[in-house]
Amino acid sequence: MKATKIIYWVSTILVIVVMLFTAVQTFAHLDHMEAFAKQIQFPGYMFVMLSIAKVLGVIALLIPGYPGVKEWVYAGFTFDLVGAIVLFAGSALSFPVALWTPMLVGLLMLIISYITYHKILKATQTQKQ
Amino acid sequence: MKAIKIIYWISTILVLAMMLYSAYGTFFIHSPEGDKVMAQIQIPMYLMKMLAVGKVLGAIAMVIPGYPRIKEWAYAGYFFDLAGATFCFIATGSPVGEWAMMAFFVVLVLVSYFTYHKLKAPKL
Repeated sequence: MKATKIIYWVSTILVIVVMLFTAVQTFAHLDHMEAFAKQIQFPGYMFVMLSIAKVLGVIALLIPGYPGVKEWVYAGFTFDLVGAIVLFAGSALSFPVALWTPMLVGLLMLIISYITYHKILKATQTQKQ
Repeated sequence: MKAIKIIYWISTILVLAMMLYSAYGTFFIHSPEGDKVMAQIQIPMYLMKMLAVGKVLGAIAMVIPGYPRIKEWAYAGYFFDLAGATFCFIATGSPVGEWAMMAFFVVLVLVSYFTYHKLKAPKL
């Protein structure tokens, strides 16, 4: 159980880092972020919307309890990352590996975080009973 | 319980009809009005296509009995899609009349979600 907990926290923190990374860039109005939005034909407000959602999701993951809300956060983060990967793969533009890596690593970490999260949740539930 | 069941089915069918119609429209209907809306909210077509695939997968997950975890994700996806769409309209300064319908469906998907949990009460 201790190993599961460590894996959970390492993967979850990495997911949070990936999620906050784009959110911070969006709110800081970095030029390359705006150029990137233009390149993938995203309206500027779209990243603002996604960034707000990411910050809310991170908060929900860090607050203990609320398994129903956490389930939706995992769903939302998965849709976000899978969507980004589909976007990159389906786009006629070619993106450098440097842009791909955080998303692929993020998705892998998200899956690990989700699986270990449910293992810990199940263990605490049986403990209570 | 019977009233909850009726509310569940009405809200769910309306949500599914809306989602499937939207997905169908993305792939098969090309009208000047539709293009105008797309240009206004500035959503690229490839994103609409991706969302349309998601909508169809979500509808399949909701219709097949069982699989509570997948249904939970389908509800989450539908909620994010509809809430996101409402946000898109508001962010681009569309009049209330254009996004009121979207906001109504956000409420409808929540009604479906809560009645679903009342009926099935599955453990996550």
